[in-house]
Amino acid sequence: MLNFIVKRLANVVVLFFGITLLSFIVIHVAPGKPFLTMEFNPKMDSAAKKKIEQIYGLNRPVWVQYKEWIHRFSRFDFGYSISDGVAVKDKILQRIPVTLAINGITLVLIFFLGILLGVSGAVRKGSWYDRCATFGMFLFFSLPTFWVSLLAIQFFSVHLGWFPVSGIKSLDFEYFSFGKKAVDFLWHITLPVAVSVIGALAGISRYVRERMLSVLREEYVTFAKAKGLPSRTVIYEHALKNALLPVVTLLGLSLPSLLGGSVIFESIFSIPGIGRLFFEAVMSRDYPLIMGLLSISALLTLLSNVLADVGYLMVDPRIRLAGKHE
Amino acid sequence: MERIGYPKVCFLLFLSVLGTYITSLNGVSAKDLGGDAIVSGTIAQPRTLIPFLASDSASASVADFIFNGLIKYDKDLNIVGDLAEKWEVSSDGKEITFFLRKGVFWHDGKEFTADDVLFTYEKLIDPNVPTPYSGDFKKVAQLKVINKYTVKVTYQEPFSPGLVSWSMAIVPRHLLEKEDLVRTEFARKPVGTGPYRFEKWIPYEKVQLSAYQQYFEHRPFIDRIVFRIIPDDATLYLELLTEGVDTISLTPLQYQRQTSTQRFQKSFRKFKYPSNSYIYMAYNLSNPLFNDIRVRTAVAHAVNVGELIDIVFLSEAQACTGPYTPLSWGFNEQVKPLPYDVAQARTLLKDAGWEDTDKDGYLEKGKEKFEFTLITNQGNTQRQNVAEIIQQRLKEVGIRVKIKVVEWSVFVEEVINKKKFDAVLLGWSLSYDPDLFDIWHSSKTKEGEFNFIGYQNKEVDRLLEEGRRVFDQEKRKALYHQVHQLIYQDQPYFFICVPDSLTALHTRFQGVVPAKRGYWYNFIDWWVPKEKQKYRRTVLTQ
Repeated sequence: MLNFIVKRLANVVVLFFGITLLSFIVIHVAPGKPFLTMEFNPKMDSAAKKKIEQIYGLNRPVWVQYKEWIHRFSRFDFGYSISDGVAVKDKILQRIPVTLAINGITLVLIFFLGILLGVSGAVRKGSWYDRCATFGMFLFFSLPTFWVSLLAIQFFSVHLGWFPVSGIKSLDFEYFSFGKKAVDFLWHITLPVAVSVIGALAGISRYVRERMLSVLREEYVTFAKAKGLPSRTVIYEHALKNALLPVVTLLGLSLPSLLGGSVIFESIFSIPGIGRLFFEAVMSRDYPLIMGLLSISALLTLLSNVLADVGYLMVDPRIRLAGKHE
Repeated sequence: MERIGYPKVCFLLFLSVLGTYITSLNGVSAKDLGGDAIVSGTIAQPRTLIPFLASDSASASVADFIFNGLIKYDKDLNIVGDLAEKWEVSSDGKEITFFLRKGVFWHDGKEFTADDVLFTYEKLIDPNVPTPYSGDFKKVAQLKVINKYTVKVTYQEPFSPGLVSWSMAIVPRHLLEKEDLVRTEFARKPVGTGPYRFEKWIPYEKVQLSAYQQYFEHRPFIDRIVFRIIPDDATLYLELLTEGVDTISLTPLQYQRQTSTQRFQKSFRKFKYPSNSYIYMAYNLSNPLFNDIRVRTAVAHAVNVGELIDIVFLSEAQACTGPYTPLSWGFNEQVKPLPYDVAQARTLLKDAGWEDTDKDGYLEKGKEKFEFTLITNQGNTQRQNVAEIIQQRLKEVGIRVKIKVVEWSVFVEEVINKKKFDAVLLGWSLSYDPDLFDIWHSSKTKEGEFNFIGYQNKEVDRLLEEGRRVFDQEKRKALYHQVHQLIYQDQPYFFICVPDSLTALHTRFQGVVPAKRGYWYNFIDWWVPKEKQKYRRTVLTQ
């Protein structure tokens, strides 16, 4: 077991450097250079850009820059953002709490509601309820998020006035008590979370529904029913547990997405999350920031893969045994 | 109490709007008038609040409230003193002496002096400081501090645009001298001399400023300015509808079609004023297709600019007649836009040797087809629409246009700087001084410079050089009027249109007087009547 983990971790290190090397080359080879403004102004000369390139050493060969990046990275120094001179680490750390909170809540809701809908759909397969739910979920799945978001804002915020249009806190947030702050935050993220949950329900609930249906066809379920157990017990005690095992895997795979973010979504609701930071970094060719974000997400993805594997190993004796025989 | 106080206050405000500030009374009026906040919605987050490092408009719009230059433009775009009380230009035009205001204090309490001007200048020309604004200051031979309140700037040769370059914000020596300007905290915690002091910045959420009680003109009446960063146009507009923000700029569509509801008109006033910018299609003049003036003129005749303005800008723009907009005093009213005249366009093209000999609907000269690629930048739908209309209209005279939309960074690096284009669709935002040396002089064609089309006209060169030597505005005006006319005759760009600036502002703000400069210029005189104030009054700590 320990051997396995060590092997996997060594693997992660190699993969990680491979990923950073490739990303580094790709972003530097891609056309375009860091720029500072979106409009031409005759009173601004290009000397500033050259100086910036000098300060950040962008005029040197890519491999020299990469070596330096690795060197700094080994001390957990990601350098400074080109666009505003703020340390990359600070820029990323600022975004993490908001992104984690919103994505965490969203993920929990997606799984909770998805499982609920999936199970109830499977139990009442083919009923009116099942058909409507399926139709509704696919409808929301196929509608573009930005459009649904804007419609939701238009209706719930502008027309009804129930929720704020955008942002994650009120303007006088700092004068609130702790409790009020929490309420204010939740009130602000209700719409964005609702929109992203609704759009994502289709996948998980369909998955659960199919699993559930196949489990319900198993002989032990028939046997349990034949024993005369109430159907509630059969469904929730016997069938659901087995149906949910693969869902746990899915949950593991979604962990890296906790720190990801959608650009469109964060832009529309003015959420200062990781997605927008990444998008803006790419658009302005802010190399140190792009590399910082890429390496963090690469690392997280790799580590959560290792975690998932270790999880399998612990949960499923079949895999564990197979490993021994090799 | 209120009934007696209010008219008095109004009267005081009336006086101050007229510009007759009575300092002893201002203290009283400020106390009665203060309060409330304005929330301004912006798409982008400022990059740095050190003005001479900032090249984005988001930074500039915040820094404008925190800093002052030595001079500034008044509402009618005349140059007036700001931190400088007055100035003198020597008779040979080489020396400008600025007499600074006395008793101006930085927000941290230290006095502003000539030494700060010297420091700002030193940083502007420092080769290690990445400022895009060094160009005008490199022409300075020497800047000398005469005494605490007087500086003398000596130019190598007379340089009239130099005067307005001193509207550059002055920064404090005592706070920045030992700092690395690229990474200093000051960029996100600035200290200036301006009407508002920096209060807080929550990245990608808001920047908040509060009124500076000791501002040298008078204390601003609105307690706070909050810039909310809302990166999506549509959301910004919805925030306006729910009064989450007090002012935003509007698109023509919003201005005309989406802001006429009763609810909107009760809460907001709409403003429209011409911008000092224009949209153009620039030809690569080293491309054989476009080095013939007849072809360029034909293109201008072939496109119906009126129709284009009606469709893309919903009529909220005017035809552009050359390198100046009507807002500039360089603008020559005598120059009339080329009319939409397809017959004339065809004749000109025929004269230039372009004819549809094989009857396929497109022009050719020998074996060569008349087709070119028009490149514009991504993220600007207006420009893409303009490009499509040009494409359609040129097709009608037999020119095939391909449109290519390129992301900005690539656009600048690969297309403009490397001059790899037939024609590009772009816009210029101009400064109020009519010196256009950097765009049109034949020496400005190197990589990264702005005469990227390779325009050369000896007479224009001469006039532009002359315009930089002369200080007398009437004489300069005559020169620039000629420049305007000559450039329009040459048609190095297809000058398309000057869009209007469209904005909405909450009606609770009083004292707003739109002028040539827009309406922000007298912001410190705006106020909100007590009963209409929206944001709570918190004690200003200073």
